[in-house]
Amino acid sequence: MIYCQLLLITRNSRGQAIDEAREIAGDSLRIGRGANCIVHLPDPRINLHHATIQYADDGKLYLESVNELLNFNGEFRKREALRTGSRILIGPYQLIVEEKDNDHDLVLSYELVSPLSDDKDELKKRSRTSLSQTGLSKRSIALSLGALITLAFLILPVLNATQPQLVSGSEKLPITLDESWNPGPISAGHQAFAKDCQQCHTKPFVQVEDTACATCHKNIGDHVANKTMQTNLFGETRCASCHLEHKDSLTIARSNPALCVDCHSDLKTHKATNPGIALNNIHDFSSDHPGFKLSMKTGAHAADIKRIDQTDKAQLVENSGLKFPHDVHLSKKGIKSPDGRSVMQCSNCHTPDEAGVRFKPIVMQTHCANCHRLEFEPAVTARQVPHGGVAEVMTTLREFYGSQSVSESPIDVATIDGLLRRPEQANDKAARTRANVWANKKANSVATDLFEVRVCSTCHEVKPVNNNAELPWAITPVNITDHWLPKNNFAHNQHSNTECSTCHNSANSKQSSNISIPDINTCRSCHGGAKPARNKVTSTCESCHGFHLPSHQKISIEKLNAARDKPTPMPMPKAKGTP
Amino acid sequence: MQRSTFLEYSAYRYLKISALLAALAIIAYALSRPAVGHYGGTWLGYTLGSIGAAIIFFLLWFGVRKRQYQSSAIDLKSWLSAHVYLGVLLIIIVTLHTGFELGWNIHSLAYVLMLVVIFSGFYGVYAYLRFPRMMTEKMGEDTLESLFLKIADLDQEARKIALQLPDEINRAVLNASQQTRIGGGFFQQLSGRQKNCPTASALLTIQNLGATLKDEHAKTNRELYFHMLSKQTLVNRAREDVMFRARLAVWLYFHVPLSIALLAALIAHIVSVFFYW
Repeated sequence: MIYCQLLLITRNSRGQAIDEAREIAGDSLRIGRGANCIVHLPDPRINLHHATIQYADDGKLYLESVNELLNFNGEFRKREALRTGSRILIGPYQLIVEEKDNDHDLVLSYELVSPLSDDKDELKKRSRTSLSQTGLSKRSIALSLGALITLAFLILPVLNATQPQLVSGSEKLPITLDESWNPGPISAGHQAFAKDCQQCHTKPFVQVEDTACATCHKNIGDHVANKTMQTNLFGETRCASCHLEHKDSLTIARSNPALCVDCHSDLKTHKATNPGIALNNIHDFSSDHPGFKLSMKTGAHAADIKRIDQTDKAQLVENSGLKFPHDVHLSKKGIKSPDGRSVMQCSNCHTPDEAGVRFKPIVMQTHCANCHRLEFEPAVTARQVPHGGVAEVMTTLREFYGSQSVSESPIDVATIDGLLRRPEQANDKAARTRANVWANKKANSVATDLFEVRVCSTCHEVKPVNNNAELPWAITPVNITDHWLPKNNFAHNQHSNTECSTCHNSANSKQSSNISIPDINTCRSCHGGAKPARNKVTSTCESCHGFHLPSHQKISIEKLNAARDKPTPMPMPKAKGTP
Repeated sequence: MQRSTFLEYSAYRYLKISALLAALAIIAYALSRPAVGHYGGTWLGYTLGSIGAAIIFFLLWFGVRKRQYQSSAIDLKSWLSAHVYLGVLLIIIVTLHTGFELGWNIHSLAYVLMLVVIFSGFYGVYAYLRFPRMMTEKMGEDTLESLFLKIADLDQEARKIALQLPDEINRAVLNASQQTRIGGGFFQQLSGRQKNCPTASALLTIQNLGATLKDEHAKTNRELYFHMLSKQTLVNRAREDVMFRARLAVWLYFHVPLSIALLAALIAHIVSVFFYW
């Protein structure tokens, strides 16, 4: 039996201890939360039966925990003998073995040393009920994001443009520091220096200047041939007004008709200051594009060209000096040839040039000579006069008949001294003279036949020259117009899907003075302007015309190569007062 | 009569202004035919860009205005009404300014940031119109503070009852009173739940172990169960309230920082355009 005095210690508001003694006794003393525990510790942190005090075989009192280890004087034990002064922590309670008196086997004091704290305060302390308590700060996110963007997209690009030495090493990066500023794809032609913005953007806060373009693009043709008018009309216009970069990865040339129509639809306003303007207003190919003017050659010189309105039929007569009826040659029944009747095609004579844009010149030897043979002597069909000047023909004839007059086997019999006999053999001087006279006469009569009747005059205009016995005829020089519409860039190969006769009415042309260049209505049967009607082809100004006058444009390779090397820093505008 | 919201402020004055400006912008866009297509660099592009930038600076100024103590409630309501409708207008103006050309560059970054800011604002409008009413309906007379007090009372009571019950139940109840929390981290607040909530698991323990108890203990356990059940109801209501508060506030974590990011991107965009003119 254990007789124990139990002292419950509580503290008043000033912290002074107050004992409340209780006598208990039993064979063993149960400590716990449960109602059956004699040492009743009513706290949820205590087990129902937490520990037991009882005598052991050695006659000493022991305190033994049911489950967990207990804190005996700072050491954790499951079981320990109770000595005076022992301090044991059970949950929130502190038990102290006091000095025992004679009436008791054990005097034990206990005190709740760590009471439960206030539930509401604890709950509030644990709970974070607003997002601002989570440690996320809008301000710090905002400032870091703002700083990051300013650094990456403002400070670094500006440094890259103006102080490249400060960001040296950045060339090794896969992107340049100001690439984020690029608003769109660079055109194919400028790809070589696409990452070096300063090649075109030479000065900060200044629009791209024409000098930047002209560094490489020298000798670009003007728009108007008249220099004064060009300056009046385009002096203020920047290249970049039309050639916008960063818009298209293929080309920087613009084909939008609005760029042309902007001025050409209202030329009146420009006529006031530029009376030289001879053009009419135009809005679209399908509506008010004027009829074509044909550039006809009027003489041998390059400048001998007259532009004639296509409707002016009286003036539109080509004097080429040639006779050539297309209808005869293109007859569906065919035309007589050495190989019998032959049906000719346009392509027999008109062969495309290397670019396929226009046609190679027509050459007598290649295109005509197979049928139009220049034989002169029926007995000797192998010989022909050369296709050249009158002099060459006369020389050939004189030489031929001269040789015949002294030949062993004459090709002809001649009337000499009233008798039909072989031409005189040149065995004496008189006879040679006679033979020579014969040869000359024969040559002249054959030449008359060639030039005036049979051969040359078939195609050429031949005029007799009275006072020149050596060269008694003259051939009118051939003067063929080879480019009727030089201001347009029509390409035949782009139209190869259609027959020649669709546009050229040559099969019915009886005279070489006829011009078979199609008129604007023929074009309009397929081409419908910028916004074509159904079944028509979109046709902008650029489809046929260029903006710049033709020029021998040169790209400066040196400049281009230089551009590919080290980029040049941008000069910053200097502050006032600095030199 | 119900008080009008900021959307209906002054008979939709700012809605009308915005709609008019949007219509003007769309008509101008449709009528003009720039030679190289629409983009920010045409005269219309520059005009729309300038208007857009002006509106952005005005809307950003709202953030400053809101924090000024002198401003009266009515004044703020007018500002908010303008803020919302001009924000919607901004989508139209700036989209036309881009000419529908986007790429991987600072210009498009500014545009995308602007859209994110505006759409987060749309969520804000939705939240402000919907959640406060729902919160009032759910909370009734209670406040978060009163719920805390009630939960604490129930905890105390439950612990007292549990003293007589087996250790496992007692521990679960103690744990529920010491570990249960309302809200918590960013995502916990938004979800309105606590993972492995100690109160819920205590309820489960009480239910499971209760079946083995007899007589007086079973009766006590049942009492404890109802205590804990009412605690859980209160805890859930408190968490729901916190969830609504979080959802009312979360969009500002995008709206505010991204609008500062937008400001930086907008400045970079404007400088870059004229630096490399």
